[in-house]
Amino acid sequence: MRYVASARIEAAAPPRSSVSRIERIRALFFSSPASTLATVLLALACATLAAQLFTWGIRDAVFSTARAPQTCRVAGVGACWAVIGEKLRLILFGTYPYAEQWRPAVAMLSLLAMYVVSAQPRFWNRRLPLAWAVTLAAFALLMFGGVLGLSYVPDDRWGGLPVTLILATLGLVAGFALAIPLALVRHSPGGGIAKALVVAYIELARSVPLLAVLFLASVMIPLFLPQGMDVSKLLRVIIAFALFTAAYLAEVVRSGLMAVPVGQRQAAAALGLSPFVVTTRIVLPQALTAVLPALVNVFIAFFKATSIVVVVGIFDLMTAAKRAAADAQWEGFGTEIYLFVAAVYFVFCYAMSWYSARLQAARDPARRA
Amino acid sequence: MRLLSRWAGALRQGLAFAVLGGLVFAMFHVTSANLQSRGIHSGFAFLWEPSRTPVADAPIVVEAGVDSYAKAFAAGALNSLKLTAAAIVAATLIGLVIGLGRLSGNALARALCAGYVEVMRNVPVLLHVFLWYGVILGLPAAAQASSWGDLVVASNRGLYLAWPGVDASGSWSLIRPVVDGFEVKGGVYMAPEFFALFVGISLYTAAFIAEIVRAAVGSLPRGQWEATAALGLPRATALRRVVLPQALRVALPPLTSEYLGIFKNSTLAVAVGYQDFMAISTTMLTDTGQAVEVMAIVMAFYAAVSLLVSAAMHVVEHRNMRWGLR
Amino acid sequence: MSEATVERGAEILRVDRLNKWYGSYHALRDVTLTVAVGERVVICGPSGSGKSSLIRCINGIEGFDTGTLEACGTSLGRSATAAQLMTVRRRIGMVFQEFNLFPHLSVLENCTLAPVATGLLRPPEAEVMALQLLERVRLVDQARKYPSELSGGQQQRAAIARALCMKPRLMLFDEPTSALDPETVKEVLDTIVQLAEEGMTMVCVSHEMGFARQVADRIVFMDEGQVLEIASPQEFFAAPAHDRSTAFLGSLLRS
Repeated sequence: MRYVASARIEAAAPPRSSVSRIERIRALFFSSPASTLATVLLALACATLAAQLFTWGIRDAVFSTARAPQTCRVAGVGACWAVIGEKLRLILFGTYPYAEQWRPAVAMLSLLAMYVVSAQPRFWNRRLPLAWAVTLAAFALLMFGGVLGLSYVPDDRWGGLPVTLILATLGLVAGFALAIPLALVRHSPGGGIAKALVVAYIELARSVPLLAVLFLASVMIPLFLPQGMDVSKLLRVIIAFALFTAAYLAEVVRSGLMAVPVGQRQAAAALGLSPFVVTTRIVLPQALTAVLPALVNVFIAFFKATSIVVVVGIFDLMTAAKRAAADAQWEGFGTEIYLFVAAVYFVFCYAMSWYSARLQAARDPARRA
Repeated sequence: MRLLSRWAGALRQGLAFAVLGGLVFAMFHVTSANLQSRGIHSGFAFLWEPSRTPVADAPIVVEAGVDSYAKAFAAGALNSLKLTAAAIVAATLIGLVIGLGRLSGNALARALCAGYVEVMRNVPVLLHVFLWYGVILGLPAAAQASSWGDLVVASNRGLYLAWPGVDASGSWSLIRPVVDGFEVKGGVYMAPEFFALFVGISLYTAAFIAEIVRAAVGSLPRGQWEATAALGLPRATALRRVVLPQALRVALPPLTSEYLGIFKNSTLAVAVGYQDFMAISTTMLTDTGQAVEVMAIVMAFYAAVSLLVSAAMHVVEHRNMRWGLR
Repeated sequence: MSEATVERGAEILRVDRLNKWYGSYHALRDVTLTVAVGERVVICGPSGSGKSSLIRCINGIEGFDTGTLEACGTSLGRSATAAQLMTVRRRIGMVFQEFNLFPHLSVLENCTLAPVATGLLRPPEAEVMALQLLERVRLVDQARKYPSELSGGQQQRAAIARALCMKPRLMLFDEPTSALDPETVKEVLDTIVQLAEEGMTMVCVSHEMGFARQVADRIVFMDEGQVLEIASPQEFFAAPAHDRSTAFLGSLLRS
């Protein structure tokens, strides 16, 4: 029964997949009775839903704004997409003066361009913050006007998408600026009153709803300021936003700080670098790089959260949708408007989460998605 | 040298305390000056005065001019908790199904569940609520309301659900809603606002819970799956008895985070006019003008519940450590 | 193939020209092997030789690309249905290197889960049998404990009892002692030897040569995915025929 191999078998190439297309489909959809049943039921449900959506949304829908909304009220008509065409400027620019609407358009585009640029690692150098400062200044200049021959438009006339974008951007930039010292204090060894205050602040800010903080800011800031001083509504909301996001961002940054090996700080100190330099040039960059995907996820969450300002009367994208839907002339077609705005949010958020997923994949290719 | 540094530390702390104290004092001073100039009193005494606004749709009813503000707050709190509890249950059930669907062997189920997650979580929760609010307000009036299998009557005034109760003959049975002229009799009533919030928040959070479930199941060591396979366990049993019990323990911290998120999102009630704690507080604020006290109560309520739940979760996590699980 | 018709000497496992690739890596090359009822086969070889891959193909935990594999009367391979795989796995028991006990269940519950869930036994009978088997592996006092409360050797013995509760006809051991402290290796090996002496058919991947010498009817030596030598322990240890076997044994003796 003894066997001895006479020769070594060389490694051969794997056979080309002998699995036919039919077998592959069978494995994906029909591998067992339960799976087959699921495929049949789900396919039926999807087909029915898709058919109904097609009928309502495309086949019987009204697309042209000519003689709308009367054309939409005819019996048997499906979706009234004409309302989008009609309300598009309101959604995009709010009540900004009609003739000047090129200004928010340019402002938004430059902001979006900066985002695309900032997302690419090859632009991460010392000039980036400067570029951002310039862009934000340009944004303010274009939107406010009052100089260079541009007419002045106060911020309570701004509305729609530009407000959402600037809310998200400024809220996060300011929040981030506040978050870093918060995280550093909380991460520092030892106790002390500063640390206790920071912990109390972070825990409190993370356990209350954003709406409460917005109300707090809207109502209380005027009370805190001496008589005669006042802050615009938009600025109050941005402050509230910054205070709120700072707590969440601080926790993310803190987890990044914890991920930097202790040896880094020790080695830097041994080189004779001052604590300030160690923190800013050695520890923080590593900490932030480590948690970049998590930071993007926080940004996505707060981009969506800006929609809450509809409750405090700030005219953002969501408010624009609500006002458009409330127009008595177009009553009953609110769903179409909300679906359109949902699509706008979806495009932004999906793009950002795609970016976050790419970041995570790049740093850890072996990780299962 | 050490003594000096200790003194320096204490001095730094004392200075910080003094600066902080000074700031608080200054703020207090300015605020009370402002309040005084607007003729608003301070203190929490207003809580026991009769409320100017009634609260109708709540587990406890508050009559204007009769019941106190404190009672109104209580009604609001109950409403918030009612909405939160209902949404937690629904979101967990839906999220569990979708999360497991993403791990299914059936490719169509996987794709549909992935699609659900991507679409639902990239749209703000408030928009979900508004959409569903529009849907229910667009339903026909009660007189033409349709009934699904006698169990649900849906009209633009709200939903009426069949619910067990004591019927006319005095015995327990399922009481079904019946359209009677312009009204609907019987069944449990669900206001359009509650419906919009409940469905919107549940479907939104379910997407996040699905991802948590998926990640938790994925974090299980391969060896556990191999052991269930080697024993010849059917997949359903393997999921139910081996995989899910372990996965759900791992998922507990992020799940608790989502549940607290539902609790905080319940404040969106303000946007659709549901009388939750936040909505009632804002009414109170305009009625009494006592901004500082009302905001303090609001923060205290949400902070207390959140911190209590987080603390409880930490305790449970500690007890789970005895298996040697991460 | 019912319990009654299986006689000693009948074929329980037949592997014929089995090939497996991981991507473009040729992991198993033309493996051919037969195991009869009551036989004890020990597979050994350097790491990366494909021993674990082979043993995992036997109960279908991993698939293979070409060749045939018939275990306990069922043919495995790409065309095997889920039902066939399940049948095979209920007739074959497997013990893993990392034990893979279910940490949230007690030892007793670990053992009774599969027989009850697959309908093999009713809960009271399953508990009786589980306690008997735990007695045999000398763990009955730890029956209500959880895996994290046991030592490595105790956990592996519990894993053996768990596999035995399904009344398998063939036991597979995938390096059962490789993750254990040297002190506990002996207690686990003794358990497996005891199992062998009671007549259990087994295929065991192991580095423990003393154990192989004691228990094996045949030694299968593998290297780089290929079976290089199959011989009785006496033949293999005294006079290995293939140069690679000689080199391998030499390196073992030196370590």
